[in-house]
Amino acid sequence: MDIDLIFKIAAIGIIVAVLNQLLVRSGREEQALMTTLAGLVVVLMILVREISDLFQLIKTLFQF
Amino acid sequence: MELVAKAAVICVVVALTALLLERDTPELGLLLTLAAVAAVMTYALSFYQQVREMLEALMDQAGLDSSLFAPILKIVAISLIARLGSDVCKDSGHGALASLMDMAGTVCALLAAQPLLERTLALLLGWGGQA
Repeated sequence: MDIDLIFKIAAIGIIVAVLNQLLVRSGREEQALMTTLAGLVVVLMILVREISDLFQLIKTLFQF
Repeated sequence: MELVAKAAVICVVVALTALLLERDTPELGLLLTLAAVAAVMTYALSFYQQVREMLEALMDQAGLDSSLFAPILKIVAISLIARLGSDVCKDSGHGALASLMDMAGTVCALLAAQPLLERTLALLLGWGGQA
């Protein structure tokens, strides 16, 4: 099982959350939003490939 | 047994982490859930090959055509994808999208079952002609 993927995404999420808090507290709301967006895009890039692989597996296994 | 234990541990850990992430960045919590879905489902489906072989052996013994069995497998896959998609939408608080996903799954399942329905109808009509 690809547990590394889950840990990677959890780590990115925690780092982004901490950065977000730091930037919001120091009054840089725009940069906090940009950081969240960047984290979102990075995680989406990782996840899209993984979900595409899953759909491909389902297609082969269930004779589509 | 090993699969269930691993899946349970991963799902609980991911649920806890997602709760933590949702406080500041709810979208990343949802993506973490999606990652867990992809990982656990891929792992579970790797065991499915054995089940399929058993089902095919049963079909051979019963003397049934594999074309009768293919729509059932397709519907299982469609329901898996539709259910998971709908639940992920529900988790993010979008009930309308979840209902839409359910509807799309139902339509796809009906379409996949069409050959079976046609054959059943032909069989019934054949019986009607004999009587």
